[in-house]
Amino acid sequence: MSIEFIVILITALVFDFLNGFHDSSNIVATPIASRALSPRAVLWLAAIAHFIGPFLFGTAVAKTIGEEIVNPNAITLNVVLAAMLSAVLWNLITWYLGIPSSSSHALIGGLIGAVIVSVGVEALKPQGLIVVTVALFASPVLGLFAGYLLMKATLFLARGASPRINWFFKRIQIFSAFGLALSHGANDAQKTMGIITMALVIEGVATEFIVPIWVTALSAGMIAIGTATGGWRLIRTLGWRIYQIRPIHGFVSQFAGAGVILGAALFGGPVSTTQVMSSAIMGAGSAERITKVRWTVGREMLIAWILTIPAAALMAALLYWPIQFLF
Amino acid sequence: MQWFRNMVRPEKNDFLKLLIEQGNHAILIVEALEEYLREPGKPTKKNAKQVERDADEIQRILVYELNDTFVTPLDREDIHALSRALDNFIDYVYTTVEELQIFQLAPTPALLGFSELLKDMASSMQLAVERLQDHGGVAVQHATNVKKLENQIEDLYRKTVAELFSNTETVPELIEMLKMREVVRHISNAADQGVIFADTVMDINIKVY
Repeated sequence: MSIEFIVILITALVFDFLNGFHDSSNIVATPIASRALSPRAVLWLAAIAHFIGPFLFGTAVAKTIGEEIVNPNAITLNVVLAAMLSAVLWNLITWYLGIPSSSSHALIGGLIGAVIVSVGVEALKPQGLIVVTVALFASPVLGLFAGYLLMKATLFLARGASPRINWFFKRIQIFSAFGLALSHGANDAQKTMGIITMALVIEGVATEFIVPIWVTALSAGMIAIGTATGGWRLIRTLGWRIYQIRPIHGFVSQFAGAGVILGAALFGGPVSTTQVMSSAIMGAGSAERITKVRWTVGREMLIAWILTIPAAALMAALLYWPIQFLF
Repeated sequence: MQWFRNMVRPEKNDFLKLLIEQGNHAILIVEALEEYLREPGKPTKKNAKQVERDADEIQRILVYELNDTFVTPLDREDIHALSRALDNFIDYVYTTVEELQIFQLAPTPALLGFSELLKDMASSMQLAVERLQDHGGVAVQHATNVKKLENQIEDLYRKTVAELFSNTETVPELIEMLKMREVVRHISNAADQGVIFADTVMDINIKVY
């Protein structure tokens, strides 16, 4: 095994860890902030779901990234390494700033930047880029509307209820958080699994593209550990900084988010879990009172989301040369 | 199934009506104070004790309803703050009437001045809760008026206390002075509740409109 393979393996696992650490905060923030469960219990729950997920299903994200954005022939080990390193950096930057942003977009951006530098613009697939761009702008809008409408409906249905209904809003989040974490784990650990397997094939260790069980276990384990660590800066942003999440907001944003993600999956349009969940929280709050949401936080997020792909692409392009020089 | 029935045909939760009712009682209790000051000997037509008891009952109902309702027209803590401020206002004015009777204090021009200001304050508070739902801006104007009245009451309070302190020489005079000081202190406390009320109205206005 070459040194580069080992470097890629480690980087992929770091990315996987950060992926769990970073993106699962969207799922655990509302149950934590609305005190549906203790933070420790929520994080454990999400970690277990993230560990189970990769064994069950999901190839969509990995397929999009591996085949549809750039020409698969252009993806070399150096490209993958540059893309992952830039995604890791972008995740660390946004984590430090406390802004939830999509790890998948960071990886897509990294891939685009590295491929442009190594092969050229012609290796990009316009159709895939359009799909990703549309999803980038559609996700926040869909999340916002779904959160808004479900909140209005819930408020209408709960108008005769006593505050004891909070018990329901809290308990139900345990199931929704588990389901969301399962699907997130399934989709996102795929990226790492795909990258490691691809490296194995290129190395000649594996003869065909079949994910070995130890790769699945390793990827599932890392994303679960990342989840259990808890991206507290991001959880604070989502649970408190947009507005103080109460049980009803947690319930509404989880179900509105899950609805959008499932719906998008059925129609084959990829949406970002991060963007849908964060904007569903804002939608739920604005249905109650438009001024309840601190829109400056929303603006910060939107800027970060738009910047994710270009910034990751730029970093990957800059990282590509030293990598090329080393390996 | 209770929940389902309520969903289809919800009981109207009349928090604003209850608050207006509390506002009405604030006016009634100040009227009782005024009546006593006009003719201290006579038993008052408006029984202060009864007004205070009725007002307490309204507040109890409001708190009960609040604890039993999930979707409220305003933030629940704001409704509670308004209700509590009104209730405390009523309690302090009631205490004032009681103390005047127990201490057997004769009405003074200062006391009449206080009761005049308190009356304006009570009707401003009552109007503020009445306008809260449909005309938030007007409610804020009434709340601003409450704050102005509180300033006037505090001015009068300081002047009155200064006079009490400077005009005391003998021991019986000292006792009278202490009685009077106790009464005006509670009037000042009632006015403080008015400010809490007014601040809450302004908070609500900032949030909602």
